[in-house]
Amino acid sequence: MAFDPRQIMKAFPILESGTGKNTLHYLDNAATAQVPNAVINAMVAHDAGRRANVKRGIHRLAESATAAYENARESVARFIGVQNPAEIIFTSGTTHGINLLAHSLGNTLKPGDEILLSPVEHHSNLVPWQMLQDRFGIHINFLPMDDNGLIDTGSITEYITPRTRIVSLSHGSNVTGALTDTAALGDAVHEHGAVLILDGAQVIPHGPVDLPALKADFYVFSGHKAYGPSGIGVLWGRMEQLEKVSPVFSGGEMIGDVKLLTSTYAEIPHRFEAGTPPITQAVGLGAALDWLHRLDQPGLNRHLMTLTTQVINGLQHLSVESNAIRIIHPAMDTGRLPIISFIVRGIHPHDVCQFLSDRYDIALRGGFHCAQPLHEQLGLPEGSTRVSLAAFNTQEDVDILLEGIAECMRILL
Amino acid sequence: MTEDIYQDPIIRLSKQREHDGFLDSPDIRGTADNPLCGDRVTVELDISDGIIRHMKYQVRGCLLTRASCANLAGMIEGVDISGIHRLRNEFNRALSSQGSDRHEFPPPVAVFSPVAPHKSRHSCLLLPYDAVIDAMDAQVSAD
Ligand SMILES: Cc1ncc(COP(=O)(O)O)c(C=O)c1O
Repeated sequence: MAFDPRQIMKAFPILESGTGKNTLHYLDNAATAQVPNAVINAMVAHDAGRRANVKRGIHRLAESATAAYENARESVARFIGVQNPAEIIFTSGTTHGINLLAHSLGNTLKPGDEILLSPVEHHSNLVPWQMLQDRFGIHINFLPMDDNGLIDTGSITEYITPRTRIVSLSHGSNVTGALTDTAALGDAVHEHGAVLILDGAQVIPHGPVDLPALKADFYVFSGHKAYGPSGIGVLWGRMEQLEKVSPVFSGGEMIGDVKLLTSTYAEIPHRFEAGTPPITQAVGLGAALDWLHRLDQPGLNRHLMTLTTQVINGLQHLSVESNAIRIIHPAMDTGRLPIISFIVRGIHPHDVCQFLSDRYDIALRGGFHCAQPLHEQLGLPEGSTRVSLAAFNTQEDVDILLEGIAECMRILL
Repeated sequence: MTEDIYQDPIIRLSKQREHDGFLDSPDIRGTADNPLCGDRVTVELDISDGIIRHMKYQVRGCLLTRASCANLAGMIEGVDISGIHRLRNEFNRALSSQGSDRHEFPPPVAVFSPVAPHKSRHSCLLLPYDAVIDAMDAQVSAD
């Protein structure tokens, strides 16, 4: 079916006020997207009809809860183009996934080993690695980025060394919307015997991805940005890499044979899922990715890029005379996400957001978006204002946004 | 939609520049940061006998922080350390109180009453007070 954002909107109860008329203009999807009925209904149906613990129970509900949980794993695998669902590990989100890797891979590091990151990273792909510096005596290096916040992955051969063990990069920026060019990464990383981790938190919400083709070893993302619930996320790893990783969390559900002083571990992926997992949330994530997968992908992508272009052109238009707006954006032709960050010179991002919320019920994000080093390198000490689009956004959202920003500039400047 | 905080008196205050800048030779200086948003206020004070005579400030922050800086600088003359704590407490109580427990805004800060429902913005208004307290505390410990 051809892509129709009006139809999509109807699937999101939060967008329909009591009168059936939408007053909310939700443009903070990179922080958390809204959930469609398909996801809400799937979670309610699970809790109302199949709620039980998974894996070990031998009763009707436990078996159907386990099946639902494993079905969700299969939905994720289908969405990211992975043949073996056992490579999907449920986490609580991107941050959890990166921490899991930082701890487990970190335990194998030796003094003098190196980790390669970029200045674009979200704090969750920065701080967990920083914490390894003192514990293991390792060094962190950074790939350079350009003035628009694009990571220069082509220069990886200059920055990777025989001591580099881990390369962990954003697959798509939550600030600039830049998609990272991964073509040069996989081979360079593997030639040096290192592993490649990609943070896909902002990429997964925009459609299915063929992960194995990216040549990454690990990939992480969150459910709540991909039309799913919070409290659930995914760590994907190539089986041969997962086999080398020892679990960092332990307890029930992740073990094989337990003696008083020693234990064996369960099979992958269960050995990485200690304790009762977020079962209802996994079911919700499966439903979200199935829902997203069923949309007309080229139509969705065209829609989002059309709106993105309109936002960028509209902001540039507002700034023609005053030059008051600076957009941080990669060129449209390099492949990008529907995320646009900008500053209005003379108006703090928090004031832009508050003004538009108070007067227009527009939801934006203002500040550093958990990427303070990126903002500082781009010379933006007050952060930026971010517009992030999703399938349910419409032309009307963009029109009202631009009208609101014009009004904000008129009154506050 | 909640109450609009961008009302003329607040906007006007935010554009006042009378006390924005540096003193020639300040007696004390203090800084307060809001780590959540990166906002920072630095104040310079002339004091004698523990009493503030003049204040100037430098601010990197939002409109509310600017407005509150201008407002505080305009009313701070003659205030001592206990006075600045009292002003902050009264302001904070008026911002935070609701319903039947509602505390009145002291007249000099009543202009900010529309901000009360926006809890996430209270710290913007209180930042200049914290910078003055930081300056006065440093002075007390140096004495
Ligand atoms: C690029 C990127 N990485 C990581 C995260 C962290 O995600 P979460 O808070 O869901 O763990 C986010 C979300 O803010 C993000 O945008």
